[in-house]
Amino acid sequence: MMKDVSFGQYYPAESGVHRMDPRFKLVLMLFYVVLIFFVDTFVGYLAYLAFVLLMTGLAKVPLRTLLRSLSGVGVMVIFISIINVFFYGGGEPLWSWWVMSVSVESILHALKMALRIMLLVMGPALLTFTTTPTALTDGIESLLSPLKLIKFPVRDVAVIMSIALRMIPTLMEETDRIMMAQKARGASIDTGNIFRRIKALVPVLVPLFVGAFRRAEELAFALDSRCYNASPKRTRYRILKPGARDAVAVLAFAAWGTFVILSIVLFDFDTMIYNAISAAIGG
Amino acid sequence: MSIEISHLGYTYNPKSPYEKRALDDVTLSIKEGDFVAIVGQTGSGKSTLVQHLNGLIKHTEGKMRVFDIDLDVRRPDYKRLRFAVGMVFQYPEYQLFADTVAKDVAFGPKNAGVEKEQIQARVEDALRAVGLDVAEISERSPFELSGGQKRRVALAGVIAMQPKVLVLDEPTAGLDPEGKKDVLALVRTLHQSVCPTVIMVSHDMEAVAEVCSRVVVMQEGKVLYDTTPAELFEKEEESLQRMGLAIPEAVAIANRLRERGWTLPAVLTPADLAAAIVATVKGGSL
Repeated sequence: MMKDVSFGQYYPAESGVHRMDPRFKLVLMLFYVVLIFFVDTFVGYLAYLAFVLLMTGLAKVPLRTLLRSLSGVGVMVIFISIINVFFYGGGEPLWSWWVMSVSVESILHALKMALRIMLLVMGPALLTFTTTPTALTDGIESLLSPLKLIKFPVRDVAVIMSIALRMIPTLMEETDRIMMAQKARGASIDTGNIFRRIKALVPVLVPLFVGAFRRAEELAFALDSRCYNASPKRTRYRILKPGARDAVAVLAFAAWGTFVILSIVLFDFDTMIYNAISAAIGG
Repeated sequence: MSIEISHLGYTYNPKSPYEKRALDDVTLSIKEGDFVAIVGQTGSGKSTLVQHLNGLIKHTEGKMRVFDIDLDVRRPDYKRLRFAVGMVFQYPEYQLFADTVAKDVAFGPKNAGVEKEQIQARVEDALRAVGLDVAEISERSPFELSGGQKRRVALAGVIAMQPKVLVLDEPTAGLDPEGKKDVLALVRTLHQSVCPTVIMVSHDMEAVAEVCSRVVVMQEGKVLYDTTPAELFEKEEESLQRMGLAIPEAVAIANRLRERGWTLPAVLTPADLAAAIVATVKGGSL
């Protein structure tokens, strides 16, 4: 059951997007995420959607896999959309009751919020589909390396992060195994009311924690016995090297970003749609 | 028949890059009183097969029936199935969770809805059956016990459910030779006293030779052989070796002797071999 969660899961495929330098992917994704908070026009969201779909195609990730990343936020999207439709408050009310009112503007606003959240999830999901956890931590470590100047233990943090990421599938597998073992003893983990379910989790959580501590201890001994931290300068096995592919990606991203920014600053697409719809309804 | 399986198939993560065919057209029937070993390489489908037996994996292809529980109906009675087929996983000691041994062992019967007064008796019986001292151990924390004791407690947790079939996944994994011998002896005792039908998944051919009366060899999700250990080891030594399964040394020696013209009866253990050699030499056939 846990294996079905698709967010944060690497999707193996041979593609240029997969082979990109993780640092570039991280920085570009950072821009992507920050920029979306300034986008407030449908042209802008359309550009975002086009970007996500194009990247998905280039990365050879099936659309289904991408959409599955949304399953985690589905409830939130619906909830926020409903709240926005009824409580936005602006515009000419088409319908109103007590403190609630619905207008063309509130519907458009809700639509935008929903789009924003979904795009916000799909972008980073795409990053994790196309980048292995190890490549990601390598990239983060490299990007954080200026912090070494203020004695921030970048390398140790990177090691901790990569170990944590490395342990996620192991712990999930272990959870699965323990759940199965307890189910075999008649535990009903997915039935009953909420209190019962929480109580039913004890036989799973206790062995899981005991196991996690056992693993952590073993790992610490293993690191120690291989003289971790004995030499101040460690070399690395994988060396990140940006290539022509990354330059092309940056250029393409810059062009796309310019378009998005222009769409924010110049177009007033919203008003156009709004006017058209009100005209249609009013007419 | 205790368990009847026909044309069982199973695929993990269908229609994804992680798709894996784990079982393919498996037909098997297990009688009451059988002591069956299921052997094969890692990834041959052994674990998937045994997880079907108590409904941890719901079967998608083929037909299954366990005792009077028909698993092909729309809503099979999985609850009853779980208590009829007791499943002991690999490294069962890692699933202990309660603060006392008695509470941990009582978990299964409690879930089965056994009445309070009877639970106590069942816990004590189960602990005795696995060779533990009830008075000494039942109020201690399972986490302060030795590895071998923990495994026995975990085993008792399944025995206390009084299953009709006991399934053990690599019961000797991670034990030293002494511990291995103890656990095997224990499993054999359980087979004779508590639970008449035992299915054991194992890599360890010596263990299989010693305790099992029937052996099922799996390869790539299919049943390759289904026979007695003696016959399997005598006839299929080479193909087992290709699968990375070493046959017991006593059998290997017997096979070598046969190649040199000795006529020996089927042997499984060193003791069998010694007796067979003595008989042959004394009988003067050499």
